[in-house]
This record gives sequence, C-alpha cells and structure tokens, in this order.
Amino acid sequence: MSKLLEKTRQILFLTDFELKKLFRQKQGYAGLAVIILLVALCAIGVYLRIYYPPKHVHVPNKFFGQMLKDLVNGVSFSLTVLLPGIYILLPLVVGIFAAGSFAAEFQNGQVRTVSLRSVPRLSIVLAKFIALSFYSYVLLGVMMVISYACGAFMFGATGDILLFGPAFLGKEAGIYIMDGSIAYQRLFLAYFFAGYALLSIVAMFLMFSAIFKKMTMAVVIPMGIYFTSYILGALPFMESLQRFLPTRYIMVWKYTMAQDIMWDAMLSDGIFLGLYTVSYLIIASVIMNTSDL
Amino acid sequence: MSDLAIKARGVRKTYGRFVALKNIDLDVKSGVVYGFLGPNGAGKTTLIKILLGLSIPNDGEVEIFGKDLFLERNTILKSVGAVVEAPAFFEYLTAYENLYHLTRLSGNISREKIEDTLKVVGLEDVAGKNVGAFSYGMKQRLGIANALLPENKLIFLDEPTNGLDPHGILGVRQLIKRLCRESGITVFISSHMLAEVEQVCDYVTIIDKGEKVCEAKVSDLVERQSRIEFKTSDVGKAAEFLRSGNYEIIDERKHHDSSAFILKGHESEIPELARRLVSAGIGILKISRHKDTLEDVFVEITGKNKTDSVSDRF
Ligand SMILES: Nc1ncnc2c1ncn2[C@@H]1O[C@H](COP(=O)(O)OP(=O)(O)OP(=O)(O)O)[C@@H](O)[C@H]1O
Ligand SMILES: [Mg+2]
Repeated sequence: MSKLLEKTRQILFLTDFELKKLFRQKQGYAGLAVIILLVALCAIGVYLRIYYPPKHVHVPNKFFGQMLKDLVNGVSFSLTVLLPGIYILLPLVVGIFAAGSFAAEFQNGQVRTVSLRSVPRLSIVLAKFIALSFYSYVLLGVMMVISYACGAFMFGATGDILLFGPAFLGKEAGIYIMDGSIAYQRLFLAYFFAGYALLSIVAMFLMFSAIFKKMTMAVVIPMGIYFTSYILGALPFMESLQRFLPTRYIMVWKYTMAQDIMWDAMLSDGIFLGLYTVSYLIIASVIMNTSDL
Repeated sequence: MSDLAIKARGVRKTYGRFVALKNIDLDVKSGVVYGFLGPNGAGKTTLIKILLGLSIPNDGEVEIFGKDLFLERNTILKSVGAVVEAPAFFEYLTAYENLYHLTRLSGNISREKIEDTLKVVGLEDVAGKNVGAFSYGMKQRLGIANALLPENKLIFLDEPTNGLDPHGILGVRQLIKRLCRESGITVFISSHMLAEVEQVCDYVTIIDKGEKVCEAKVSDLVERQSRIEFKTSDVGKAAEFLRSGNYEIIDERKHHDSSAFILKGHESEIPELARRLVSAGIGILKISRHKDTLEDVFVEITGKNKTDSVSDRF
C-alpha cells in the first residue's frame, strides 16, 4: 500500500516537473502563435466568403451567402477552425513537443539524468504522457477560446448555426441548421473528443521517441506515417484501405456534428483509438525499460 | 551487511560482436576514493553505466552496499548519485530548480540542503540562473551537486575534471578528498589522467580494452619498485661508469645537453653512489630517489607485449 502511495507521489512529482519544463520553454509560445495565425486566416476567409462572395456564384448561391451571414457565429466559426486545426496543425505541434520532450532528452542525456533517480522507468513515460495530454487540452482550450472570441466579435455571439455535414461526416451527410440551444454543448463535446484523439498522437510520438532516441527520426517517421495515412485516407479509390489506417479513428469527434450524436460509432471508434493509445504507451515503456541509457 | 560499497563479479558487456568489457571483478570498500583508470575507449563509462543499472551487462553480478543491483535498483539509487559522461540538465530551468525537481524524486529535500550543496560546489551565486547560460565547467559542478543530493553515500564521477579550469580541477580534487574524509562518502571516479588518480585515489583499477590489467593500492603501486634517478651533463663518461659498475640502467632520458639515468636501486644506496661518482670525476646535476608515477606503471603494464604505437594507447 505504501509502495503504491510512493509510486503515485513520484508520478505526480514527475508530471509536475514535465509541465514545468513544457511551460518554461519559449517554444510553448510557438503553439499559441500558430493557433492565432490559423484563427486569423480562417476569420479572413469566412469574412470574405460572406461579404465579398466570388463573382462567378449563381443566384441560389447568393441566397446561400445571406444564409451564411445569419447562421455563422462564434460557435460555428470555432468549429470551422477545429477542422483544419485537428487534422494538421495540432498533431504537428503536439507531436513535435512530444518528440522534443522525449527523443531530444534521450539524445542530450536528460533521460539518463532522471533515470539515475530512484524512479521506475515506466513512470517517466507515464508522466510525460500525462503532462503532454494536459498540454494538448490547454492548446485546444486556447484555440477554442480565441476562435470563439474572434467569431463572436466578427459574426455574432449566439444563434442557430449552419453545419456543413460533408466537411465532417462525408459526402452523404447534408447541410443542416443546428439549434442555437444545443450548439454550445456540441462545441464542447467536439473539442473534448478532439483532445482525446490528440492523446493518441502524443502516445505515438512517445513510442517513436523511445524507439529511435533521436529527435529527427522521432519526428520524421510518425509524421510520415500520419500524413501518408491521412493522404491515402482522403483518396476516393483507397477507401478499402482506410479502415486499417491509424488516422481513421482520430476523427472520432466528428460524430458530435451529426444532427443526432452518433454515439454507437463514436464508442467503437473511441475504443479503437484508446487501444492504439495504450499499445503505443506499452511499447514505449517496454523499450524504455530494456534500453541502455 | 558487508563493508563493500561495490562488489562486481564477472561483468561482461558486448555491443554486437565488439566486446567492451571482459569479465571484470571489482571490490570497492566503503569510505574510500576508488580510481578507475584507462585510456579512451577502455570501457570506463560502460562499466559505470552497468554499476548504475543504466545499462544491462550480458553477464555478471553486481552488489551495491550488499544489495543486488538488478533486484533492488530503486532502493539502491536512493543513496547513490552520479555524473555519467557529460552533465545533462534542463537548460531552461534554473540550477536550483533542476536540483529541486531531480532530488525530490529520491526522497525528502529541504531548501537549505540544496543551497548548502550549491555552496559546496561554488555555484551559490548563480543558483537562480538558467542552466542554459552555464559554461561547461559550471554544468560539471552542478552535476557533482546533483550527485551528492539528497544524502548520497556513494557517488560515481565519470571524468569529473573534464572541462574544468585549473582552479576548478584543484577545487574538485579537494572536494572529492574532503567528501570522503569528512562525510565518509565512497567516491568512484574514472579518469584517463594518471596524476589525478595518484593525487586523489586510495585504490585504483586499471583497464585497457575492456580488460582489467592491474588493481592495487595507489601508494603501493607508486612505491612498488625502488629506483634512483641520477642526472648529469657528462653523459658519455657516466654511461661508461654505470655499465662498468654493474648498475642496472632501466631508462635513460636524454635532455638538451644532459641525461637522466633511472637505475635500479634503493634509496639507501644513494650516498655510496654519489661518493663513487664524485671520485670518478662525473658532475652530478641531481641525484634522488625516483618515484614512479602512475604514468610509468601504466605504460609498463598496458604497453607490455604490445606493438601499438604510443599515440594509439592514449
Ligand atoms: N552504445 C554503444 N554501441 C557500440 N559501441 C559502444 C557503445 N558504447 C560504447 N561503445 C564502445 O565501447 C568501448 C568502451 O567505451 P566507453 O565509453 O566505456 O569508453 P571510456 O573508457 O569511457 O572512454 P573515454 O575515456 O573516451 O570516455 C568503446 O570502444 C566504444 O566504442
Ligand atoms: Mg567515458
């Protein structure tokens, strides 16, 4: 019992240490900077689409423009930002931070410095995972707040929202209007499950860090896998391959965008994603345990 | 409990087909400064990593303070500290924060204890500075501080004076001796500097190419052979005299216009030799007992039956 207590205490100390390291590094601001850039570009894009629609649009689309003006607000804007954010930007930022906190520390010897203390190596991996997960949620939270504030300021704070089903749920889904009363709840759910998906990215980068122990390799290889899967998953004639790709489950949050939340699909994707995450962590710990430091 | 701080038996380590350590045995009594000497690539760092459980040997057993390293590593590490190769810290945290977060993992720690230790290694003025702004020597000192905390009884220092200025080297050597004498801490240091081991260590093991070539008490090793050093400018005459007098010349060290002969013989033979040299009309620049340095011993042992060039050995 006291052993368990001591282990928990050590993991807490290590996590605290990791968080301090993450927030102390100036590179933490880099994440903030790219989020602001993304929000700003999205804001300009949406603004131009509403107020200066492309000249070649037909009459029905002009009507659509009016609809946009009425139905875009802080919430829908924030969801618009989440889509490119979770596809590319945050995996990139969180992944590189994960590699930086593990592979780079292997390379520069800090992993050895910590391993010289009386801590099980498993807790070192676990603490990094917990700290980076927390950090991922902080980044997502920041993104949500900034994008909501920006959207609310430019397009209005509340109201019903327009959802482009195809962007989230595939070609079959339609465009529909979501009631303003449930929009907030959906926004929070979408961001929450996007965070859950980021955890698997963190775990994947930690695993490759443990395998390669070099910063460049630990970034290039999982990035390569991620983007390859992502590109292949997007190609129409690769559909039968898609279900085997690890990226398939990363979009678990998209089910919250359906008219009625697709809980069944979300549960099964969520379980697979969780299994991936746990396997990555187990592999990382086993390798860490058997490595010469 | 045994009074051995480190006991290793038959430690063997290979990297692929390369054998880095062959069957190393080691007995380090607690409360001594133990030197581990060898040229670059001899396997010093490899052995230290094994003794700390950072690296797993192919074969062998290690006990630290009577506890099996492979079974009780986490307990052992509560009272063992080390600097292995270059000191690696978290550059964007201050010296104090680094020590605080690292030491906290081994047990309870007080602010005073950390500050005292920073003072011991001479870093009290820069405790609040980010380690990223430290010079290599300052990091090396911080490494020693980290090895000492919280209250470690055994510390491993892998080439601790590497990168230090002469003042720093002196400081670290004095610190090592003081730690051992005043706090009873066992210090295991590796070095390729013979003078260093001679100055600070009580015992030494010499390894070369992963093999132990010698293990001894430093004072015994240095005094092992009694020799006389005799320096003169009448080189030809002296050589002739020594040969005809049946003196055994071990080495002749030529200088600009003089030579120093190293002869076999005890200190007590010096007065007689001096008298005879004077009566033979040979000028004496210097005559004294020749104290073997570890350098002599080292070259003699590791160079024996080897065709390597000198530059290859160092
Ligand atoms: N990870 C590794 N993979 C392969 N070979 C290694 C590895 N680590 C060390 N070696 C080899 O093992 C031998 C001993 O290395 P080690 O670092 O222990 O030497 P050392 O005595 O500490 O030398 P130095 O004085 O240069 O620090 C060297 O020949 C080295 O090339
Ligand atoms: Mg070395």
